[in-house]
Amino acid sequence: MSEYRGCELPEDLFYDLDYIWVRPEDDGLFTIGVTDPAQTMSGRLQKARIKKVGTHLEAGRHVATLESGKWAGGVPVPFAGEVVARNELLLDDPHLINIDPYGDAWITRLRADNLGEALANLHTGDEALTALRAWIERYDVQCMRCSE
Amino acid sequence: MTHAIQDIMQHDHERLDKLLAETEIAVEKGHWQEAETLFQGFRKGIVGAHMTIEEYLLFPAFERWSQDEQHPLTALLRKGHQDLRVFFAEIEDSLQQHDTEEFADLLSTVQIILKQHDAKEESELYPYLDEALPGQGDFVRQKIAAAQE
Repeated sequence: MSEYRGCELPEDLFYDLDYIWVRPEDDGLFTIGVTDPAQTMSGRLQKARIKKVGTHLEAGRHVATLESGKWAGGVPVPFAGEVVARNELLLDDPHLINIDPYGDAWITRLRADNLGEALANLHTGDEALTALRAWIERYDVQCMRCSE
Repeated sequence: MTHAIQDIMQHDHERLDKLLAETEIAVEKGHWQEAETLFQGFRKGIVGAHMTIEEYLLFPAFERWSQDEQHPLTALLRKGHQDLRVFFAEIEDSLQQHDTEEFADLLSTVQIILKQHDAKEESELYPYLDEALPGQGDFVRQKIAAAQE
């Protein structure tokens, strides 16, 4: 696991280089969550709304909205697709995103309209890590992971 | 009479907030056509004028003045604009679909974003613009006013 300014950046995930990570699953679905620097920028999350299973979204639209005391923002999807699962745990305990953004706090699972092109606009490996480090510098983020 | 950029932009925030609040009232009354019209006015004002002036004139001027083309403040504000544009499109969809619940959820999120975003602009950006862009107040005022016609 790569780390920069305290922010964890797993090398094996795909990133939109802004806010989200994407993990292709063996069953052809894609799991989506927010990155460690993004959850840090958000602050302690107090509310999460996630689109219902069956919702179809165009690329760039928000599959979830998150709110902390002073901050709110959306979680965009990087490709068009249908919500096939959402993390119900987050609806009751959105703060979990601050604790385990790459694990238990996944946000949604999508079925891409076009499986072959789902990852076309995402980045991984060294290229992604370099760009994410630049993102962290641009927004002057120092990650602090909550333990509880 | 010259106009201070800070006053012009701050006043525009208030005008836009009012339009959004009027949209909310129209939705609560079930007046969907009126709500759509009000929201279109809001969107024209904020995306078509306010954000455009900021992105093409005010942010670059601030970056030149602060001698930092990659200033974290303007980077954050530009990102905020990008996110807001998507939310505005989603609100418009919810109005067209007469989806009260979706509209209320989106509006709540957008109002939090705008409150924080506007406060940041008003305290950390606008106070420096008359120095960064001397004599440009009337130009900014005209551009904002043009979007209201």
